[in-house]
Amino acid sequence: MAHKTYQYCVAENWGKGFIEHSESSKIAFSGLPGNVWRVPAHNKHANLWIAKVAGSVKTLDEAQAIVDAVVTAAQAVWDALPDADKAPALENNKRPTDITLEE
Amino acid sequence: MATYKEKVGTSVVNYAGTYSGAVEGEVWYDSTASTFKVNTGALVFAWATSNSLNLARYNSGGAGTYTAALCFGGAAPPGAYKTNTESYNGTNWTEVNDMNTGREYIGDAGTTNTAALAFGGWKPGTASETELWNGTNWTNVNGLGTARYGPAGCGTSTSALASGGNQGAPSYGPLGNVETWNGSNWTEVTNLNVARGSSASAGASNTAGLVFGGGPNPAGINPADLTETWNGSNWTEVNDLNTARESLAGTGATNTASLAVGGNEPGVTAKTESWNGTNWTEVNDLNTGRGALAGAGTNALAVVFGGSSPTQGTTEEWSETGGIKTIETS
Repeated sequence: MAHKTYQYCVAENWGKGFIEHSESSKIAFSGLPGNVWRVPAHNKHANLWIAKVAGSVKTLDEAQAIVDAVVTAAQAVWDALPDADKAPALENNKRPTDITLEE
Repeated sequence: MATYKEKVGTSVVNYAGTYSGAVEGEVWYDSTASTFKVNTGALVFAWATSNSLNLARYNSGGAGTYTAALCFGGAAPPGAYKTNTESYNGTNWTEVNDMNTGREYIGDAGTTNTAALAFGGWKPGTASETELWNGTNWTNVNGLGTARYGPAGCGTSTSALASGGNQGAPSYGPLGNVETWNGSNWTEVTNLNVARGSSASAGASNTAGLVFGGGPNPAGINPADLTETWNGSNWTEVNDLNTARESLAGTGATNTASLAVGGNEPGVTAKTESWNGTNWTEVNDLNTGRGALAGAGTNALAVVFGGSSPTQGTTEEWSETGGIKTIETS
């Protein structure tokens, strides 16, 4: 069985106290679209944080589906913009790109 | 009730001063200070979440401090070019009076949330408009000499620097133009060594600035790692960022202590780097990577907000955590 590097959960970021400085200094968080959070697998601190925020643990495929749905919606919004709004051709004004999650 | 020794396996050490032998989580009695103290772990800086903006957006302006910040303008499709302004008190964002001209890619300056400057941007088309925030309202003041979007801004509402940016159609090419603000007018000064837009900036006034990162080539996306420092007369190239990027946030009240946060590599990054006046050092990442975010504060106490993609109102605060804490009883 492949060793998992990451685990995923869904938890709504309520703001203050959702991720504390002391948690961020011990856990490599990665916030993703759709309130999906990637944290290290097999990690005591990450497991405690998921419990604290009542995170709903997702498989890789489930997390990917949630992220895809949000990105697809954002792409549709971008596609509907008038050309003038798409004009400044910097990276942050490009069509939202697909995100591929890792095991 | 179990004693400390029964629970932890050791007695509380009685020590005069800081007990260097304390492991993380260990309590001791400081007989010099007559207080209990605890080692909460290594002293590091890290990001923590805070309450989100009311209006999720990207490419907004930002000013102020860790506990008193201002977010203004930006884009929130559909219906870009926002005028919305929000004020942060260290916990919550509150809607305040709107800007006069809706725009994104805004240049910004201001070290409090009661005195800020917004200049340039994209509305659509390049903007030269400058607006002054007095804590209650935005007032139109004299515009930039060169209209542009994505200028980097630093300083205060009475002494600011507008560096670089991009021109409009058809080239959308980078600009090296720099202008100084004296509280009334903009004056063209020496250009950046390397023209660029959507870079970040830090500095105390129009005579001491730092510009870092940016996208010098909108057609091909070529994020820069270059850093330049301004002494009031000339730009000097100094040590590079470790990670080249554009549309990052910069915080810092001086040009010798700054923070480079997030941005696009071109994919969004969570990377954070701290500037000590000589070198950039990688520090703890954002919890949510993003580009086109705004920020306020210093390199020790900062807040960043908004960004893309997707469009978000996420707020994160930067401060130190860990170290020796005194246990207080009430």
